[in-house]
Amino acid sequence: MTTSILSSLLARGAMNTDRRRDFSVILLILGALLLLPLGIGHSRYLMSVLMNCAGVAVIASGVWLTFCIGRINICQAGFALIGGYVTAILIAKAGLSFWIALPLSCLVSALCGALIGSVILKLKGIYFSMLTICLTEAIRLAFLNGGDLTQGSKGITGLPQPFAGDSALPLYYLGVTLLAVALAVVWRVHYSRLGGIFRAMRLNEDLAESFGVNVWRYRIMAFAIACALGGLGGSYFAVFTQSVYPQSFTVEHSIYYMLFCFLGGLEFVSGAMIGAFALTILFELLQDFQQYQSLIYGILMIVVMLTLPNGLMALRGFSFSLPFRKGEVK
Amino acid sequence: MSASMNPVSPSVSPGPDARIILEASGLSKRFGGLLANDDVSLSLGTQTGKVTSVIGPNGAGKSTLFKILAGAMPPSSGLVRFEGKRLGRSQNQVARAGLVRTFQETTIFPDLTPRDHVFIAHHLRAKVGPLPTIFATWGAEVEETQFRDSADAILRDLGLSDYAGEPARTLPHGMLRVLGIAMALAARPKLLLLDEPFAGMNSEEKSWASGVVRNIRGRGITVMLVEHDMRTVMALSDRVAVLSFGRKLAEGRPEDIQKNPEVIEAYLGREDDELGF
Repeated sequence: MTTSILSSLLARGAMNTDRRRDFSVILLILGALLLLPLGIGHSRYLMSVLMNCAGVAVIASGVWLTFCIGRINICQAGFALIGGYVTAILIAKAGLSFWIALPLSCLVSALCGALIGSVILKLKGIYFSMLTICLTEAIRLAFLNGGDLTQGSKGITGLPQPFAGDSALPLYYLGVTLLAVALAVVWRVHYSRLGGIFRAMRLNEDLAESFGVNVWRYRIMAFAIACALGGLGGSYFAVFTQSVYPQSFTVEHSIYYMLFCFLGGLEFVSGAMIGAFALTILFELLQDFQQYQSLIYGILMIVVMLTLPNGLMALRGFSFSLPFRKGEVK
Repeated sequence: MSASMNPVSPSVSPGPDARIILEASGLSKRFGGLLANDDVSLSLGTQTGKVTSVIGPNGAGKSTLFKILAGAMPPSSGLVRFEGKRLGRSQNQVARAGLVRTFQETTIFPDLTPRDHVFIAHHLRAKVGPLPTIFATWGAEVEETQFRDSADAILRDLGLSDYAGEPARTLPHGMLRVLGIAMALAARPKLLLLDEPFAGMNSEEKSWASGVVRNIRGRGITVMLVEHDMRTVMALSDRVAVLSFGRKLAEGRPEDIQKNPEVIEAYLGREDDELGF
């Protein structure tokens, strides 16, 4: 009996081409991130660029998840800010360890997301998106005017590093681990029965309702998971930069996270990560043009939407997969 | 009415009876100045595994009645009881009670396969919650496997096995309609509401889809359908209710309905013309 269930599970786990490609890209990038410090570990600058990439990829993966339920989320920076502030307050004011603050930041962001989502997720399309823009700004203003707790525009600074010593490696590997966790969660959500329900809700809510899906509840669940990922990334940035300010995450950041998803591809779990890495590294390479960053992002966004509706992952260059045999990976 | 027939009565009993599969009493629906349904009462009786059809000329209020029964639209007045209980206000509550609908439009997810469609539609049977699903617990994995096996069985029963792994967008129209029925069956309905299941089909597809409906009836699932194709309706149905201008004009066995002068007049406007049955 157990053998038959196992073989059935393995057969079911056989991945189709897109899923294999998606999985291969994730494995290759995570593998590269694990090995890169061997070559660039001496450069604090390069390590910090990759840590930045991992952090924004965690946050952007939440935005990607919101796309799965047919909503364009432009408030992810707000939830990253919540995660960052919760971590900072718990460490600096309550004296808690980062290892307790990290999951709590995630939880608080998820709860805020569920609470706010229960009200705003009834809206669709442009109305939802516009509201989320306002929400990012409202959250930023709330922290700006948070009195002694959030320390206004000065923010909370001087946060201790969670690891002893001067090496950036532990924090780097923490970033890679958080990215792997975020991708694992999004992968499971997308490719499990839950992902099917989210897809059904996105394409036809009435149809999803007709086979018993409480669309509203599932939408809130997806949004809460997305916000939790925002909080996770925000918490990581708080200890990475050892500070958090109201300006740490703004509407502009929310738009960038959305752009990462468009650029990487909305049909692939790895899309947000690909976009985050590609754009972050690109702008580090083009440091001389940083003052034109918003302009270049804007133009890039238009070009991507017009020419690559399925993002970079749809390019022929990404049409490869590691040689998985059927049933090897779920 | 023959003794073997479903004891459907045009008049609705005054109190709730848990044995009665579906009972709609005094349903009215007003859209501004338009009365789409006017005091429509309908009962499917107590015997399961029967096919009841709702017919009527265009604009008779069939689709509105269908949407009210499926929970997609609240009535302006009147109530619907399913197995003696008032139905919930949302479609998912109605589906949970055991009343599952299909759609007039061919509603599918183009890139998913029929197997995936039916797999997703097993949602109502799920006992494992979302968190164990995300964390891929043993229970969640076993449940997903069972649902996939069940999806394959449903597709096999309805004759869609050969197309189970193809993207749904490549399926012919008739098969897409039957795929809609397969998805509804995954929710294990007690009462299946079919909204124009034969619309847009050629005669071969209609004959195949009629066989599917008979197959469903044979499993003891009660079927209620809204349909334009009179020949198919008359061949399939155990009972037929006729709507005209939002009101119920007649209800009875197909052979009685075909001879009903009011029905003939509603369709053709003249008593001496032949009805296109």
